[in-house]
Amino acid sequence: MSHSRPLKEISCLFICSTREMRNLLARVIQQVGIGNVQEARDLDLAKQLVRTNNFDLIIWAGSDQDYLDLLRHIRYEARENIRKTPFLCVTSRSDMNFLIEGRDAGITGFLTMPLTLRDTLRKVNAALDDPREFVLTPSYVGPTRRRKTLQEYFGPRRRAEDGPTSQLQTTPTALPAASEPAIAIKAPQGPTDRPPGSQETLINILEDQLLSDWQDDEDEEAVEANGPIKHSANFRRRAQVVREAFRLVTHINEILLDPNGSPESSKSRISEPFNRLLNLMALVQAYGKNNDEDSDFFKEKYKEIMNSMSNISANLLAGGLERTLHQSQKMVNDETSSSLGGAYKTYSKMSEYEALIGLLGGYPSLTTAMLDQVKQIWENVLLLAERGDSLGVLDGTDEKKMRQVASERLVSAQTILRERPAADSQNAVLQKMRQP
Amino acid sequence: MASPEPMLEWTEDLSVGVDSIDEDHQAFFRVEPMLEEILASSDSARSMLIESVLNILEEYVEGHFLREQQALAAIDFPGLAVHIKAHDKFAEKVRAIIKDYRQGNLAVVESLGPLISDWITNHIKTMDRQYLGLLTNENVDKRPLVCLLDDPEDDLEF
Repeated sequence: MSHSRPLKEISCLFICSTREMRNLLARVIQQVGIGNVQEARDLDLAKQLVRTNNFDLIIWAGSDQDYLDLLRHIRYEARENIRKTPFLCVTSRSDMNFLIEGRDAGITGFLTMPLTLRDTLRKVNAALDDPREFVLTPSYVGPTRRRKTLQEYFGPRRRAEDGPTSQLQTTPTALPAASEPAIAIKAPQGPTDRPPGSQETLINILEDQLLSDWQDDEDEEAVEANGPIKHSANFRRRAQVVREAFRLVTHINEILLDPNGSPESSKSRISEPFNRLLNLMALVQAYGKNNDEDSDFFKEKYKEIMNSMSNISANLLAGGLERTLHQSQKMVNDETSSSLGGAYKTYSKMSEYEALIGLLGGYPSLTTAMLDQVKQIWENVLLLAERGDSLGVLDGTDEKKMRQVASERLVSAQTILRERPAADSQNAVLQKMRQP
Repeated sequence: MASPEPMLEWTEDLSVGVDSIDEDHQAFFRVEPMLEEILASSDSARSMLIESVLNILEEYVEGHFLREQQALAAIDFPGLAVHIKAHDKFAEKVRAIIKDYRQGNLAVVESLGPLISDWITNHIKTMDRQYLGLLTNENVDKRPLVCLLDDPEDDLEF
């Protein structure tokens, strides 16, 4: 469908089974200017509606994967008029499997919570303007998952945009002069006749590429059928994804370690690259599961990226604990006028960090310095609670629970600090902490 | 969260005679019931929903104020400076509350809905009424509020 019409003329089917989310999303959809919205509270009703109505856009919102059934129904079984309808998924989830399954079922795009009007408008326009070819194969129906035309692709040209004669082209017409692959990543042992390319070209591809470099099944089949040259092109493309993931890791760490960055600005600056990194990791993980000659290499790279992710989590935690200790200490010392509810504020903040600590392997995996900070913060929570600083925020039951949790955590931290062998150097613990 | 006072709603007597501005005003009034509904829910995505409402509120403030100010500037409205000052003061207040919430004071969000409804009611009755008849459907930007915001940077679908 061509999106030349104003949004107020667009008809949209919106499906959401949760009342609060549905009410919010309905307003957001209205605010971006979509004029004709049909709401469905469940997928059965949505299926009935797509049987008899045409829509320009379908938006599903939720956190389950039950929408996949509707999406597959639309892509594989529905009428011609509805089959290619752009389908947006609004979700608070960003885990890889969720994204990949949506993508492989033919999703047009994801809109992740928390929402903004700007994002919603951008994603709606992108879905309606989606320039990607619509693929109809027995194994996949949906917008092509290949977002970019690679200059160094030598496999069969099977896209409609490749032209009528391209269907027959199964061998490269010309190969550039041989040279070493211009990527810094060490390649695994294997065929040495990888298609070469200039470093400039690869850098350009890298700069443009970001997340849009999803591999599609059509290419996968071509790789298997056409031997080492296509395999090599495939490898190089995947290696670029790995390289981009490492670049993002470095970028995120730079933001985290920026001495001039406030926590708020860091948070907003990290959000996009962090999400992009998660998506690239999903790709690298998938490459490792391919059971081909390169899969071990990508498994290894995936582990390395995971290690780096642990470093990022550790950095996030380190900064957060330091700030929380500083703030809670000021409240304990009466150096701030806003200490009412201080026990609860500190407790809430620590609840977030406890989740991060859990990901890193719990208290035993923290450095002694961090563990000491944790101990001091929990002591401050109890001190502030003792003063009645949680007044007005928690009722009696919740306050009792807060005190109980704080006491338990404090004892855990104290116990580990006491038992930690003196010989256990900081570096060794840090190393352990950064294991995935 | 139980509200002791009945929620304020947009009514016809609050109309300023400009459809797009009336629609913006109605959007402000919808924040309170939306927040109340979310705060009372046990939805697993509750915090994401609250955060979404706060994001959208910030955009309402930015987009709506811009719409009004641009239109008032275009007609050389004499009270523009005072109007802008009132907008800025409220925008600052909203931003401070949102910042407080994001720094961990979760309870503060409960006061946000009534604050917005109260402010918008008083602002319409005292300030916006001053341009009644001067701003019309013809001289005010009709586009959805989001279109008035800065153009977002391009990003990626996945």
